[in-house]
Amino acid sequence: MSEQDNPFIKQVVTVLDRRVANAFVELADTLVSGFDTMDFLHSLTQRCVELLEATAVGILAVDQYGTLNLLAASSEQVRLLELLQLQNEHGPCLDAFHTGAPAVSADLDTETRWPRFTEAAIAQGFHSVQAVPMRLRHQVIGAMNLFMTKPGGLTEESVAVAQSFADVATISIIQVRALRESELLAEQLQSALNSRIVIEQAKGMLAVQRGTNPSGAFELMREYSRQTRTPLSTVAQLVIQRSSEVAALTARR
Amino acid sequence: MDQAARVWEAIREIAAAEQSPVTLRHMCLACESTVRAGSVGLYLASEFELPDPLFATSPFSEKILELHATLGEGPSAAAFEQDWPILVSDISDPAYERRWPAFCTEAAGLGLVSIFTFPLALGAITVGALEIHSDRRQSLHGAQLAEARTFAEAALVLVCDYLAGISSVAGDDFSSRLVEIRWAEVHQATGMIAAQLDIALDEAFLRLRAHSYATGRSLIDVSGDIINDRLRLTLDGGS
Repeated sequence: MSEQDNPFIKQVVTVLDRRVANAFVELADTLVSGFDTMDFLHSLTQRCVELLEATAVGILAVDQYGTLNLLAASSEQVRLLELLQLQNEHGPCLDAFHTGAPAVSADLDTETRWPRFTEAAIAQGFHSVQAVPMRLRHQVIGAMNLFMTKPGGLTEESVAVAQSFADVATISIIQVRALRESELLAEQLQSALNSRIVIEQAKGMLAVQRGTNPSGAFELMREYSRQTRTPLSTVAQLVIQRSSEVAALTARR
Repeated sequence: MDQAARVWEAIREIAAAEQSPVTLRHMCLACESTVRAGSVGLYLASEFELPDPLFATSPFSEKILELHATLGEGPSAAAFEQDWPILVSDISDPAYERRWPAFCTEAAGLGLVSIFTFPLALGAITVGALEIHSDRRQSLHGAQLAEARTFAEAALVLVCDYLAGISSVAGDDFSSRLVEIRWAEVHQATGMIAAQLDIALDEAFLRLRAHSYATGRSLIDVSGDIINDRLRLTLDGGS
């Protein structure tokens, strides 16, 4: 697909450099061809880390109670996952979700709004944080969270890029199901959240089989997914089914 | 969490009126009287991945459950294969008749018009399905749908307890239990237990839940110990 034909590119290419444009082209291509939401969202968080000043990025989506659940993260380190999940209680993502507007703390050392979250974030070496809402028309379905090791937060331009990434994330969650049945947004979100749980289950199984930890197991699945061109969610399903198809991945060694 | 609290309160009230601990039957009855979209049936997942009828709030629902189990075809059989609800306002819609010809014909003969099926799924584990049946055309959306989905979430938690052999359910922490079953570490620990003991994923989750209940600790705490190798469950039930 050329950049001119791509609707995601038009709005951002004027303000952003070519690397960002290329990242969007690459992401948009995956949206069109063989597509796996979990794969896509993980790639998206990694592109954010590469292109913006952020050290870690996470994507949270809301469930039917209005609590935020983890969908994807740039790293599967347990402490980062915990930091993201903590925002069930309070944090910039929950604020961005409720207000539908970006939430920022340019200096966590003086932050008072989210004590438990702030303490955990500082303990991991983060000093500023940004959240951007994931919106679909008038509804907010979640938020993307960016963590920086330096105070000051993101530049205005980077926030705009982050928002574009969040918009693409939203589209990826919603469109994956549009072709199947005409269920509602809530069902689509629930399905995405459930896909994430399948990945966690597979991480645990593979960690034991390969003598590593769950985040190491994620890297192994991701690598196998890339090498064999199998969607990440499919790899996770095959691990759980103890399928001989993924014997090269799961064999104890 | 207001919705979860309200749903739990509705279930608890019905149990309290019978001076009984909360059971799956109370959950179904509360779903019927709160959501008001029809009578309610509950299936368990059977060994053969077919819906296994467990409880119905009316003879009508019971017949639909039995029909499903006999035919092995219909929304609940389909719901076991996926992780999102199937909402059918009118089973005479040709699209559904093509999809489940025998079920739609027979169910229409019993007077069924609307059927809403919610799979009780946790990642790759499906423990059952909650279903609402009506002899009148209904559509489920907005707040009413959200409420039904919350009952399905409550059903997931209660069915897991039932399968883990936990009969009396403490309700104080119900909202937090709905949140903790979505926590990443719980599912990593489930996968680890399945691989360590060479058992199915659903059995691993039930063992994790049983251990959490027996030791009075949260699922998240127990899962953390499993992941960090401070705790290893054994097949004889000890640790």
